[in-house]
Amino acid sequence: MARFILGRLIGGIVILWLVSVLAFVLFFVVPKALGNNPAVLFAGRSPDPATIAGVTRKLGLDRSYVDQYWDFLRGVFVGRHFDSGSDRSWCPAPCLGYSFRNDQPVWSEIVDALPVTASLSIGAAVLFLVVGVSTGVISAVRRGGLFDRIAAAVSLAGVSLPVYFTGLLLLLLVSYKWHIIDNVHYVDFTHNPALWAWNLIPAWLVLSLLYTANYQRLTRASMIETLGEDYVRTARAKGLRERTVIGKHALRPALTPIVTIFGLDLGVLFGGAILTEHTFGFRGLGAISIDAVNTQDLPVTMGVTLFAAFFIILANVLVDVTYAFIDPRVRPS
Amino acid sequence: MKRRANLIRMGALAAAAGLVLAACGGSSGGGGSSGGSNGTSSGSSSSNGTSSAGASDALLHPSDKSGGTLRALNDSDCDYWDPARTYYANCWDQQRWISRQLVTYSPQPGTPKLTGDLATAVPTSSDLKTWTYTLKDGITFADGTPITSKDIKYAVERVFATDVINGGPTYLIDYLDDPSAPYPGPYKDTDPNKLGLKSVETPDDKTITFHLNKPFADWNFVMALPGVTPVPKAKDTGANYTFKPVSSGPYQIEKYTPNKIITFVRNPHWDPKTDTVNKALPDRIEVTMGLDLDDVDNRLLANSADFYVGQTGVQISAQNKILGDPSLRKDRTTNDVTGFIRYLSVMTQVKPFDNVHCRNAVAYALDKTAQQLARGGPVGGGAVATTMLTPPLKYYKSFDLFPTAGSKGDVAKAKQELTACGQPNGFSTTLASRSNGKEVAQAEAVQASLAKIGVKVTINKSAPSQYFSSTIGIPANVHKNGIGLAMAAWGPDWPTPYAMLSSIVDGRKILPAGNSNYAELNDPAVNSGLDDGIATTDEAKAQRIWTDTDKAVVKSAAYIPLVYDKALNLFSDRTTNIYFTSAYGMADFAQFGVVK
Amino acid sequence: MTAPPGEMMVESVAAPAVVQPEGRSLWRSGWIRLRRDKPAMISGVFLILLALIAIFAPVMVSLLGHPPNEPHYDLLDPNTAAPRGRFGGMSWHYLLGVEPVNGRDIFSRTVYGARVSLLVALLATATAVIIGTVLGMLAGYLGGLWDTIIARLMDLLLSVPSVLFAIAIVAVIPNKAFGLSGSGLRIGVLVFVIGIFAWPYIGRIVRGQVLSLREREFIEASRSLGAGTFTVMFRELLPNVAAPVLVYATLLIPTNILNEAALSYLGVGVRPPTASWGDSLAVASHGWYSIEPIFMLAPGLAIFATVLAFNLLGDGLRDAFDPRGGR
Repeated sequence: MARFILGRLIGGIVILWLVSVLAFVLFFVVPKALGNNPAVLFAGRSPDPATIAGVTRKLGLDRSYVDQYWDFLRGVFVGRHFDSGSDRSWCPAPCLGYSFRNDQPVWSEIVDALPVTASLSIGAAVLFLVVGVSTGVISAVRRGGLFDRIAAAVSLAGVSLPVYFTGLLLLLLVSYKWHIIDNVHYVDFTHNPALWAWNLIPAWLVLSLLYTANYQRLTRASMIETLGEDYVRTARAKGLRERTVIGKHALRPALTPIVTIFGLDLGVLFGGAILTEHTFGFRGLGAISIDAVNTQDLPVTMGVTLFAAFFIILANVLVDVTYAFIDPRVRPS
Repeated sequence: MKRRANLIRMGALAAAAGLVLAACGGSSGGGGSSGGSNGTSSGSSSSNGTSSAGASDALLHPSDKSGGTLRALNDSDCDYWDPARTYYANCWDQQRWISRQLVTYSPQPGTPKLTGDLATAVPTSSDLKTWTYTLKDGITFADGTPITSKDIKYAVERVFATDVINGGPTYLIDYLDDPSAPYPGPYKDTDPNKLGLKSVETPDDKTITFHLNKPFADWNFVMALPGVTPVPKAKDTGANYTFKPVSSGPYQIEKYTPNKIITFVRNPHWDPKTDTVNKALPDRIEVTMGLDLDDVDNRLLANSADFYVGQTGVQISAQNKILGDPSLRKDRTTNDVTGFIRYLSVMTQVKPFDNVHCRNAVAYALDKTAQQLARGGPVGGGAVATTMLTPPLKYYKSFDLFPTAGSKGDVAKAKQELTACGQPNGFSTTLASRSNGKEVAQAEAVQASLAKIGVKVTINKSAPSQYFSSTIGIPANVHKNGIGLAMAAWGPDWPTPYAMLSSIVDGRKILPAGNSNYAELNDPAVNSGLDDGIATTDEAKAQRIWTDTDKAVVKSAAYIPLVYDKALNLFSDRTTNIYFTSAYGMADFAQFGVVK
Repeated sequence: MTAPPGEMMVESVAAPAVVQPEGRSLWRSGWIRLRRDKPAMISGVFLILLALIAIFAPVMVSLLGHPPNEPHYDLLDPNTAAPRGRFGGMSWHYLLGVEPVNGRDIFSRTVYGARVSLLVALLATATAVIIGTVLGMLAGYLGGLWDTIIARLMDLLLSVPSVLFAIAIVAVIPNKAFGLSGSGLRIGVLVFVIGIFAWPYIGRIVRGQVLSLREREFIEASRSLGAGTFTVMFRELLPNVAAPVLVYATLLIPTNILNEAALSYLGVGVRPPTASWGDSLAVASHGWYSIEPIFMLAPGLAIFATVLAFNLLGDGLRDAFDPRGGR
């Protein structure tokens, strides 16, 4: 077991390292090969060559790619200095680079944006998990009934609606037609929890609609399978109450695949729900990464990418390990 | 089981149909309500006029009452809070809260004059090369130490250290440096007091003299830029000074969290007796940053904040609301020509635009009202432009060298020019634009206009950050990619013709990288106009030179003026002393109050 | 690791059951089952119609609308740049009204938008299917180092934030590259970035299928008769993975439609003024939707209807050809 976990962990770290190499090549090597010098972008309007040289040195862009990559990697673990000769800025570990544009470590930008993304994802996750699983269970138990049919129809519609369309539609209704929330904007939880939740509701609804549909379908399928298992029949035969049968004997094993997918979804969401954030104007990880791409603030793009990949991979590893605990067959000999 | 699956999916189809119907129902309601507001706005069209160019002299809600907190909003943070490094007009305006310069703009609506700020008066110079300023008594930094001429010299020197202090304007280097022995900036200065710049003299603590390397009539305007804000050497932290600049103005920074919030409190050592400019009415100023622009508008509409720092005008939803509400429009908005110009750059080194007739054809073919619509119409967008100098600038004079009926373009004249150019059937070319917002719509309108004369345009859009620095700012790229046309925009660093034109039309400033004379215009009439204009002290002569230079630029058709930007800016119902100043192309932040 | 359904991912990829090796009867019985599935059939008919509309867009538009890139400034309120009249200026001449700012015919742009959407989605799906099938078969059949490398590659691609990478790639591609320029290049780039992040979904399914098929008698028989690796792969394995690949390809198309629209929505889609649904939504999202909902409804509902139809058809195909896969 320990070997399995170790193997999975190492596998995850290797993938994360590969992602970092891929991101480095994509964000640093390719643009330069195509003739874009990032230093020019950040040296101000009509810069003279000396200014460009200074910025180039500070950002370490005059060094070889291997050195630049090595500096980056080392910075993640022990922090690093950004030095232009006359000026030194310290970027503490975990140093995911230094934002050209905002003159601060990428990590502090991530820390700033994380509460927004976390609020959005956790809230939506609670919503889609609860609604998706409960409707899925009802659908499975009352298979073919009116509820099941309506739920199936709504699910199909749900997975077919892009968030940037439902988002605008909901904003139109909530802000401009019904004036329920006149100005949907992000409010910090510590500032006012009630307003925080109130303003996040539309985004939660939009984001969870997509996922609820998946969870409804998945739970339903999984429940139908377990409801047909022998031990459920045995439990029923023993005369246990239907609630106990469904809740205890059928639902619990049916939840295993749901938990798997849930872990992965949460990992993806933590990397930034780009489209939802963009549509609602929330400045989470997704929004800052889009800004960074548009302004060529490459270290930020790179940092957010790695941060997001870290969560996706972590979720994958955790899910694999959890799975191995629950179901011994997964473990390799 | 199978049948059921079918039923379920039939249900999905039905649900989909229901959703479509519901959405359509929603649309009819929306159409109804906004149809109404459209009606109102077209009703008010006559009062809006179409092109009331010129800076307005209106002053909204004058008041001298102090107290309260001024709450400002912004979408992004300033590039830098270090006065020598910032290059955003709205940041220069914000700098007035915490920084003072030798001279500054008088607090008056419209086109202000320069007035002494740290210096007792605005000097004149007979040779336009030697400029001497005398400091006032009693001026101090926020820590109470007196401001001396050496602090100003040190600030000027910092701008030379481009490896550390970069991002801001570099006029000081252009006019004060000795090309044979370039000054490296104070951090590499061998002088023990770090005051080794020879061209600036400080004979005593109250006097500072600048010896320019060439005559420059606009020097006093350079002295009003935030780059000459005094910096105490002991507290200069180089690149980190941006996080904690030492105040010389009426306020000082209380707390600064980049991209989130910056708050200002009163500077106890600021003596109003030494300051004739800053009203400094609010007790406290808060700038909340990193907001979505629709969020900004909504907060202003709800009066939960006072103004938008960016001052680029409200978004579409709010504009619709404002145009439908005459009292809101009248009491709480300004709608001025900012001084910023949107223009089309026609590349003189890219075939067939090396031929002036092909450029003329473009100038005649363009429908400028379509450009105006693409910018957002006469209220939110701007006024149709026919000159490169914009209305709020000194020496601006109206003329139109390519007149067309209703500014909608003249296909017949354009085709004549095409024939003269030897391209009677038109040709294909590439139009570069930024990928964001209104510029794509402008590019599409150019494309549609030129299609009428058989010129086939391919739009090549690139990321905003790359656009000026790389896509069109490197002539080799322009030639290689065959970019014949490019959308461009420019705002002057101070409200004079030289500031507007020198960077964008001077044939001797065509750089291999970081070029801003995008069309590579090298016209002797333009070049000598720039030299003569900036070296003359005679007002009437200057007026003549600048108008002739402007005409020469427009006549070259290398630069085709499209729209003078206008901004519809919204303020809270408690904001006082709202007026436009051409100094920054926006409201004068230093005068705001929040008590009526 | 399991494929994470991303923010735009439409289907969770359920493990498909092993298909019968008897290819022909499977196709026939599948078709019979599919014919009985009314929603799937209706969706199929809708999609054929949509494809015809896309192909014959110029004819459609010449009959019922105006050229999609033709501005109509006279239909706009000169003060607000919004269309005059109600419902975005809807009339018999402009069935869905006109766009703000330039007065282009929304009906025509929605019709032309179908071209970009379908073209990019289908080509990207084809790319994903080809790469996914070939690499999936190689991984499953050859095993060993091949399997490790291909499986890790799939893990890698599924671990990166694909939207972000896609935008970054599109942003750095110059306007002329790989012998292409103009709209051809943009469409090529979109197909590439969407396809490259989608193929692992197909690859995993094919790999799983091949792993279980590898040990079956007919493969062993073929191998013992001296068939080479490629013969076995393309003659014996390919026909047997074709059905699940078809099913999941159909379910991948709607995901790719949403991806294309998302990239256009974020401003890295086709070159202007080419009409695209995502781009129309982007225009609407700049506040115009609050003034006239039609700006958002026309492209939004077009995306919704198309994606729904593909999902219904895909579900139907899965039930018909992969009876134990869906329930």
